Amino acid sequence: MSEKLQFKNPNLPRIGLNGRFLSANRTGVQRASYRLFHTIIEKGTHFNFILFTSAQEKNASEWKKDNVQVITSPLKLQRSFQNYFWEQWTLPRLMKKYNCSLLHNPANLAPLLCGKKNIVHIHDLCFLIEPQWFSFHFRWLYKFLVPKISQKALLVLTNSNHSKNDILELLPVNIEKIRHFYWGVEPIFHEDVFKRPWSQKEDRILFVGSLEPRKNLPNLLLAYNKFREKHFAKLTIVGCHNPVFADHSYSLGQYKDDIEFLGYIPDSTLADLYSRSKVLIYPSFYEGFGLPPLEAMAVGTPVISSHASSLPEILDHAALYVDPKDSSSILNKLNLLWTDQSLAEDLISKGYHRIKVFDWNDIADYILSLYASCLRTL
Amino acid sequence: MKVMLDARVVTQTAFHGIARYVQELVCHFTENPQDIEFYFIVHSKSPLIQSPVPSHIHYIYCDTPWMSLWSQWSLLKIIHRIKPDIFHAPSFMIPFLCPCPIICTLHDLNHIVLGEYYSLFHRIYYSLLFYRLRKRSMILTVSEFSKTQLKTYFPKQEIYVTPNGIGVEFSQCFSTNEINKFKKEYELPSKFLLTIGNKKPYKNIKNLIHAYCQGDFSLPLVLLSEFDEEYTHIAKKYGKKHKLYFLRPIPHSCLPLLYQSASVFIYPSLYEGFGLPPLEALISHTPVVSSPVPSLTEFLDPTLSKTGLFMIDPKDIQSISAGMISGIHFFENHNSSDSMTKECNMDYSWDITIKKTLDIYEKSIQLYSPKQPIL
Repeated sequence: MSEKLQFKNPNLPRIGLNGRFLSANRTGVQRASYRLFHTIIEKGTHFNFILFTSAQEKNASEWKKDNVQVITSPLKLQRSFQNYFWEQWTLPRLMKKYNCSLLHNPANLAPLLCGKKNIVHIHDLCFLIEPQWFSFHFRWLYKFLVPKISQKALLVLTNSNHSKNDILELLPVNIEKIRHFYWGVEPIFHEDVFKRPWSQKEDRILFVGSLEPRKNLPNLLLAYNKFREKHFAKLTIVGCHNPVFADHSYSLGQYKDDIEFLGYIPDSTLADLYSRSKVLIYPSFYEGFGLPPLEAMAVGTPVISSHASSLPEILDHAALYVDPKDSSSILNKLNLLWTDQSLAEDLISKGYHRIKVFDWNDIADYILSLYASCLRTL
Repeated sequence: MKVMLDARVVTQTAFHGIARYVQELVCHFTENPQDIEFYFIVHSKSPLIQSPVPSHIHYIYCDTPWMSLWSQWSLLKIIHRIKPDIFHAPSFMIPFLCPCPIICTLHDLNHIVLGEYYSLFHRIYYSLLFYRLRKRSMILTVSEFSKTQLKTYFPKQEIYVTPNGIGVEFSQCFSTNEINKFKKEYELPSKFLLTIGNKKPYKNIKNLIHAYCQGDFSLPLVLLSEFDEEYTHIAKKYGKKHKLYFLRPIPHSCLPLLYQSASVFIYPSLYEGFGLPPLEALISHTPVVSSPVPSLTEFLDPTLSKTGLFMIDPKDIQSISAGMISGIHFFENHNSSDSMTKECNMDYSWDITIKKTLDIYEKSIQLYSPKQPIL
């Protein structure tokens, strides 16, 4: 912990970036946070950034910039207890040592001791709304920490107006401190190599998401089995099980040979998979934002989405909506899409149009302007 | 002549009509010196405080909360120290034992008319208030409607109407750039319906949300109002929670921008003494869907064509819904230049209010001050 700071211009205001999430698997939140940090570091040449993270990021060439220093920790951040200990105990000390004015926490938790220096993202309040979906220790830790952190924080960021309303309802946060902005998708999904017309797509239904209760896999499998009575299509499921979520069970049904579980795959493979699938199905019960449908839209794949929580806000008119509780509604929309090519093409073009709203450069500009206004009020 | 005005109601975030009224009075009195000495009672962080302090203005700092028993005592102390000729209470807060004549502006009677929403403490307070106002005091109000209502409580007294005004800033046109910047800063959608209110039931926001959710409106609804769980619960039932946008408090200077960014302004209030917002929205060239509040029924020039203004029955959800549909239809098919507001000349300036108020100061001095000895 005795690294010397070597900023090109040491007089710029210092912003701490909480990189605890870097040690976890890169699912939705982690991917978006990673891209966020990258873009703000690139564009924010008028700030100095200090990225606090675990040891394995130390030599990552991606963080080598004039305005950023990486401070690593000797703890093994993959271990969950050490993880929380580092964030709550070590990080505030590092903040003081390196004299940072703000700490940006992109993944729900922040060090309580940094209190008014925290800018914290709250992605969703699932752990308060449907606690049974989470494992015991995760649920109670979040229930204890998140309200306290958000109450003290300088700013609370969230990713949809729906989540903002949830926060207003459930957390003791003053409305003046809440800001909402939309995430963007990784640039790789915009690449032209992955764009493929409807006629060249394979008969494949794609599902992307962690294997957890709120993603509503059982109803999808019910609908898939009924769908197979009339049409042929493979079902591909991308995503792993994560120990923070409660266990749940589902039966695959009689067509289980056509269902493949791919686990965690890198972005380029995922983009290719989107482009080869005829539809992305996203029947979640609750989402704070919903990144996979947007990625599908960027690639040019029609989306069937649940109408729950923030999804209609994010996807607007560019998706077909289903009731997640009702498997026959999922079945109807699948049948409709399979038989109507003009509908599919309409959805694809609407998707390309919709995705333009979500731009990483705009997001970074916005976040940097928030830093500037925070520093003025400090 | 020494006039004392209690301006503590103005704070950084106060939006209601009363705060606006006081702010306008104080600003006008500060900028246009009269042969009156003004003593403004303000909070120490009040946005009204100007420096350097003009010679005819005195600020008296008093940080006791606006409606508290303690402020009875602290106001009384101030009055005994300064010995003003008149005490002007711009709202319902008066020192009961005030020795000098009181001029009190009663904006509405909602505490009496809608008594069921208020506590026993409020009711006792208002009966004391009315008792005091029957002696050595003059009553101002803001509309003929309120005057008629007040007349039943003060049959023997003259009640003067000093209507609220609309600042010139509302009629100015903003560039698309300015509007977009404002929308971005406050995270507003590109097109939206707007309403202003608070948690109090007579503002009728719940009925509006029912009407909004039952109709199939594609534009989101932005509320400049305190957050209330019930609002989002109603919307959640219809699956439209994501369409309610709660705006964080904006500075007063941004209000004209807010009105102009909105596609349609909706005001479903059940009771208003005046009702500034719909008139301001009209002046800002925004189509208005409103219940018949005094500002529209009394002060709008009746010879004007009523395009762009849609009256609704606020108790009837169907009527609110129909009004919103007409409002949106009007917005989509007209450009702002042919709305009625272009024809509006600025008859609504605060100057009239100020002039009438000054006249009343004079009158009260003549009425209540002890006769001056002739040489």
